[in-house]
Amino acid sequence: MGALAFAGALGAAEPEVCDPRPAGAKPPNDHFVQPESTRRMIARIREIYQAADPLRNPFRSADQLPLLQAQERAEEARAGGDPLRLTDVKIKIAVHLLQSGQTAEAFAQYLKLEKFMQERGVPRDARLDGLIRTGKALSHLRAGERANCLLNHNGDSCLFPIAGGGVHQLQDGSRAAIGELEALLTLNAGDLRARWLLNIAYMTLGEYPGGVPARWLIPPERFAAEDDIGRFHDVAGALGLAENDLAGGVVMEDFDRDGFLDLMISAWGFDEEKDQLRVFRNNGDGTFTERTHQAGLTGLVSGLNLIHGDYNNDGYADVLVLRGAWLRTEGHYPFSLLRNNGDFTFTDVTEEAGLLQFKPTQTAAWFDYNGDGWLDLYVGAESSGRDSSACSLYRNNGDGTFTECAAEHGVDVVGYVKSVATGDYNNDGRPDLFLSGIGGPRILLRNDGPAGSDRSPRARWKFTDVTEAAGIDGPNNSFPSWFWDFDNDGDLDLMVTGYAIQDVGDVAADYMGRPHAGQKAKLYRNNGDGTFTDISRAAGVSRVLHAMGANFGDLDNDGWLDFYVGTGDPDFATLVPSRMFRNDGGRRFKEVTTSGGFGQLQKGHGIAFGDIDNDGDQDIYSAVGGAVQDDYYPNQLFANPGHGNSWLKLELVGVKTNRMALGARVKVVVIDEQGAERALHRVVGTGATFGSGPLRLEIGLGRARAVDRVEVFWPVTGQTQVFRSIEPERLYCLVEGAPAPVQRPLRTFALPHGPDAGGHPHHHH
Amino acid sequence: MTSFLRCLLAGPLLGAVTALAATSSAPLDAYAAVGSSMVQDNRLSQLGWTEAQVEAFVQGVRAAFRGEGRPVNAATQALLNEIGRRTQEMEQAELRARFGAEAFARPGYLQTYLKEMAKQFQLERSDSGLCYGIRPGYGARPTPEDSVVISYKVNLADTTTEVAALGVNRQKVRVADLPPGLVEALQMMTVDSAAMLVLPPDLSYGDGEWPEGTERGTPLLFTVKLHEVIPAH
Repeated sequence: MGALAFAGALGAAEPEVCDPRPAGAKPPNDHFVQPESTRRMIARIREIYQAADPLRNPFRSADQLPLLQAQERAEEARAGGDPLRLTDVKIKIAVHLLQSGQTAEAFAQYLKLEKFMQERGVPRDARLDGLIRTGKALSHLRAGERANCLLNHNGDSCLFPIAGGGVHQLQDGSRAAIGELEALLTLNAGDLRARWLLNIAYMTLGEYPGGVPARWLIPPERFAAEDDIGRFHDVAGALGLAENDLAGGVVMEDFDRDGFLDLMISAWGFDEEKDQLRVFRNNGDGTFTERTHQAGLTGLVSGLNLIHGDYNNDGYADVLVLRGAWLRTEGHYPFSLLRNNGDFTFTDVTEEAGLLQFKPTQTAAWFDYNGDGWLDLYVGAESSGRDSSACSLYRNNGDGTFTECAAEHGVDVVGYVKSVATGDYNNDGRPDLFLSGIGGPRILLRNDGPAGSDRSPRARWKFTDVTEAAGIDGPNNSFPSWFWDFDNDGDLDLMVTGYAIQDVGDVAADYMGRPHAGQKAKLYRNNGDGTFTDISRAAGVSRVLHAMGANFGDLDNDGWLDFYVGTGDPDFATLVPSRMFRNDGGRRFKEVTTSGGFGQLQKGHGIAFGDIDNDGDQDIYSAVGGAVQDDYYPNQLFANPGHGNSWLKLELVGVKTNRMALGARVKVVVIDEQGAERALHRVVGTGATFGSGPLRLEIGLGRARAVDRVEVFWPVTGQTQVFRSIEPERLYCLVEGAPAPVQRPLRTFALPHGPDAGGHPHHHH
Repeated sequence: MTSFLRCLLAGPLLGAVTALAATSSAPLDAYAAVGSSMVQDNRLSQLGWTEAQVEAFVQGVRAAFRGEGRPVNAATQALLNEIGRRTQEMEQAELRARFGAEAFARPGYLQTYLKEMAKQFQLERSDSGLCYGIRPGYGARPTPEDSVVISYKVNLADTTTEVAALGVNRQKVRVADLPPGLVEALQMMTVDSAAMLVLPPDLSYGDGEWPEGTERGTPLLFTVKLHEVIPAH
């Protein structure tokens, strides 16, 4: 193990830890040779994928098609075959043709199916009729999306409600879809899925709302923003960051400690070109350079989610790549721990760190549960039916290795776990755990410290299930969750998004104010006494967000935390906007999706808030793209137009606490315009559970005139340190135990702006 | 439970119990617990027997273990019937205490019940208080103005007692004419979907007339299947 890799906990507050380039740090390495351990991981993933049965993986459409077509031929060879069985196979073929991007072939397959059913006398009941018509409509709609939103992509593409540059130039697809949808609605006026898609199809033609038949119109006021946040234009295309890929995660972090936030982006597929894990270096001048190959990452694929932390306390952010989610029995892939070598290269150290496991996962959290100054790791697992995988707790041994101890500590939870959130909700200095997922796992585990007289970090630890006592009740099906202090009262509240709909009609019903069975989000306010109160309705978040990715930050630097959710599911019909909510003074949330231009209809996954141009306000990176093979879409970077509020950036350096101070609590006391004190509370972390934002704190100060003090609670020592002499609109480094803040230079640059900045650099035909 | 007692007294279980004794290495405390459990589960301990009656009962048990079980004569049958009647009364009294109108009139009891039901059956709760679990169907969702063809059955709050007279089978009905909880639930459903619903009293018959077989002020369980939606226009 190299010295660089294991700097260990710092002995004392050394000034160089605050320098942009600490002594000995190297510039980006252009000659890094991919390590053997990384190559082994690549080979391991490839081997598992190749050995898997494509028919048991609903997302491998291209692999399933020849097998299904062979089934179809074999069935037909049996004296014409069983008509019902053949109908079923033909439908599956149509679905997989669509999912693999063969939209014209999918439509043709539906036509062939109709002819076959007619010839063979297969009854076309309402269910089959709806399925066929919806399938035909989706074939057309998807063809329209491919021709316009993808191949002629611009910053308005697929932004809900579609208007301006988002209106399709090539309108055949949407027009044909409208024909199918209107036929379906004529037969079945109450089909809200068809009605929703019809309204969207008209939007793509620029004919919404006027062109939509009145009886099927969903009025535009249903989508109106509750607040004007100003338009955040998508500048990813202009910066070469509009990676056109499937569902995936994002890390926004300063990997080389040069003062600029870089990006790592994953995609969950297994194609070694299209689904490559990628890393982009922020050059600090308005450009980014992809350094995937130089970083030693070539060949690493299939990360659905990325979470970062500094496991070896060397001051450089390491990254977890989480794999296998949603694939059930076919999802037993290892996750990767990528050690940041400090020179913008990464080494897959999963095996040598003792982290090699084969459980489907897309959620994990770094936290120092035992307060030894080293980040431990909790990894959620997805169990389904007989395929049971318990969640794992890895204790950091402080030497580059981990020891699995979930069962020993009673936290080997079994469930379909989709989110692992950590936070010290009871302010006792020990980070607690919250787990949630599909079908019920919803557990708040209070960290009660050592279980016996042994107080050492390796002691048996006590986690107590306090879910019910704390008042946490639902949702039964959820995806991302997070702890945050949304009301700035000094204790952590809990947000749990819902994730269950019958079809997109539930989302339509939610917008239309009708009853529906969609799963709504819940916001639990911390009462400060170990219990929470469900304030979802009063706070305006009791809605069907259908969120997958999520994160939070401060859009307008008013000091109140806002949130953004990436939405959808694998179904092409689930065209629902990603949604942004502005925190209105800690009282309630107002939707700003449409005023900010955040309503991306394509599937939204990993999200990170961060000030990528160092101009003081947070921009937002969103990993867009779906699960099925053809559901590619360019990622987005929303540039913050600025709101004139003040801000402060703080980089915390732990000495006894873990090096990047993950879990440290910060209270910023500012003097407002009236001369009164105002307290803002933050916790160092990467944010919500799907998307990984910078560990540098970026705090909006509103109209503050001055910063009175910054109080930092260091969880390992339990000490609160007060820093003064801090000016607004600066970046400071605060070192645990050091007497004074160290101001660091903050070099800024301008992001492209305006509606043309989001276009894809390549024009496809 | 009384059937278990009857079996024991009549003998058929004896062989099994004897065989268990021959092979099981369970501690004697466990055997004692089996005895206690048998008496408690059958509510025998609540029948107010005298010491002499208890002693006679124990002697009967011992005799059965020796293969000398006492014959069931008319007096025995009468006693068994009385035990059956009294235990049934006790069960009903308990049900009333847990699921009767008086219980639900207690502050907070309804909310606790709904919470428990939601937990037990993995149900969701809407803003109105309706508890629901829906197995999705497809296509159309009704509005209150539409008519639907539905089937449903109704159970009392104890979840097991069915009110057969209230159930319907493939009946056409205007959605708005149904109790408010059903109006809400049906709008959540699509054709061919099925739902389990727990309707708080104000979402079923509220202040109106409560059908025979139900008790005013108690929750009702509906198991609903939506077959067809017939648009109003």
